[in-house]
Amino acid sequence: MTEGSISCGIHNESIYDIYHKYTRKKILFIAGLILLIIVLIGVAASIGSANLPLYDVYAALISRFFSFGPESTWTADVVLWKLRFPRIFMAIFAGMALGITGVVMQSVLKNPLADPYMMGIQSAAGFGASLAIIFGTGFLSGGYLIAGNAFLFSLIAVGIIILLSDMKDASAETMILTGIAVMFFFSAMTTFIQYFAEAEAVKSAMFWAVGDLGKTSWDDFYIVIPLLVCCFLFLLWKTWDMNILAAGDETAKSLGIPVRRVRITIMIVSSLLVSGVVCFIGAIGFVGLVSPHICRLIIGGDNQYLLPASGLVGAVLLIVSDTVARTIMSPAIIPVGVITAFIGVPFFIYLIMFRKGEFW
Amino acid sequence: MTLSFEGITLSYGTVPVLHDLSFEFSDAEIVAVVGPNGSGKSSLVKCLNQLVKPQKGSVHLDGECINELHPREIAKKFGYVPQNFMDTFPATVMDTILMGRKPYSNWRSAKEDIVKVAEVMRMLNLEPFALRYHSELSGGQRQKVMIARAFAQESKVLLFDEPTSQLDIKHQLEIMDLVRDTVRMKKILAILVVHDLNLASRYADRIIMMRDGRIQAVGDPKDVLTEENIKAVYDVQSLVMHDGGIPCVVPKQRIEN
Repeated sequence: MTEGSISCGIHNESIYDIYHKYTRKKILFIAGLILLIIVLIGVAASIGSANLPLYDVYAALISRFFSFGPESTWTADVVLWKLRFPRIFMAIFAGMALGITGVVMQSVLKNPLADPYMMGIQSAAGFGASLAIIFGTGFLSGGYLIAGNAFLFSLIAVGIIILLSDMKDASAETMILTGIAVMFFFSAMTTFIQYFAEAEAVKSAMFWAVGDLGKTSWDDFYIVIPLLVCCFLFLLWKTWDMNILAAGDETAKSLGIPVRRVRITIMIVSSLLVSGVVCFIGAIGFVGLVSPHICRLIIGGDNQYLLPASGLVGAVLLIVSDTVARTIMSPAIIPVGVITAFIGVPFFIYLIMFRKGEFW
Repeated sequence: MTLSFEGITLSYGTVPVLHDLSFEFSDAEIVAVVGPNGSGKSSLVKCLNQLVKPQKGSVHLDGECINELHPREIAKKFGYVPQNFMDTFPATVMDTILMGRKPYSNWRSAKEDIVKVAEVMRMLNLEPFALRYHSELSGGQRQKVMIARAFAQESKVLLFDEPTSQLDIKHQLEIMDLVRDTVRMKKILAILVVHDLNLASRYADRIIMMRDGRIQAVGDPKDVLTEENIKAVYDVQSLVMHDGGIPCVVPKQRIEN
């Protein structure tokens, strides 16, 4: 443990300097992740059925956003901006949303296994989408029929969880149990309506439910980016509250936190964030669960740094998974939700079996 | 500084816990609350900083009614050391103690918070553990961290829920010495729920002895810790000896009724 070696030099330095150094390490980790993502954008965009040189990728990016810079070739431009960039950028934002929500739900619910998947948000979105796909009806029409329905039903799921748990004691345990109940309910409902539907419709509903970044269109970003920015800033502001909530309700109350209200607000905001992403790309498991744990192993449990770090690790995981999904059986494209599970499961088992010390 | 509670009545559901209790604390004293399991000692202490809301009754600190205040304001006035600490996720000692500064700031800790925390850590000799995980420490050290966090709250009243129940005798004395020194030095009020009558007798200025949600006896340890009171409250035959004026309780056998 590197912390041990730092604490040896305690006599020469003030606690403030030591703490400062310790936090600087975390900031460096976050900065490193941002760099990694920039590199991954280039690598991911250059790989595919038509391989492009890295230079073309960055040239295309720079020339789009700035008036100067190198001219990019027309084919590269089409391949990149029509096919590859939308899914790569969606991978980044969706990964962030999932990684952030994972951290938030785990600390607010005081449970290392909590993630958006377990809270039934994704299965409710799946049900909403199935309704739209199979019956062609929904609350919004046109291009947003499926996404709108998925979003609405994931909000209904959150509403049920919050209402029921608030009627009792708004404790973490109640929220988790109602979340699991809601998840099973919506899964059963989805199966139920699929049972009576046409084979083709069932197939496309099934495909929707397995997360796929290929559905992304540029218009989606008008919703995803503002939502991500607003929710991220709010949640970042509440990270200290989250640290204290994870130490137990009684402790949190004695430190002046109105536990009930704070837990409910944070749950609503984080659910909103993940619903806003899931409704466009479908359910993607494991990213929300694994990213927080990876980061906790590296930079410790302080949510102020864990929140952005986990968001970035989520983005990295999703870019890598999606690139694998696009290329491994090319020309066939495997839905990214399958790959995150394939990569996530062994990795997660590795963490459980070989982690050092008591981390969660 | 004066702290008092009046007419505190509490029940969990239909189970009555506290019956119309009133009391007045004085300045810079250590008050131990003793009594058998389920007598309502912890509940009483939690009513003081509103961790538990009593159905009836009020708590006044310096003439101000506590019941109506925002939790943040209460946290500035009452430090609280819980019986157990949950470690769902790893937190360093430094971050754990910093939590005590939460009532004073909103988003994140400022430099002055860290300076205050460093001061508390020096006082409790916790500096070498600053960046260790709280869960890796021994029971005595963990309890010290909890106390450090309550100190960092800079409150006038400190509430302890069985602070020494999981410690060996040496660490019990160490923690109690710490509490006593702080109370004397900073002129604050410490209220402790204690199971160990001998520890209460040695350190408390006054003892509140409870039985079935009522106050059975209050006062100086040598007046409260008598064989009669212990028999009435615990149903236990005991021998009370005196060590330089401090009563020492030796439990002998329980009384079947």
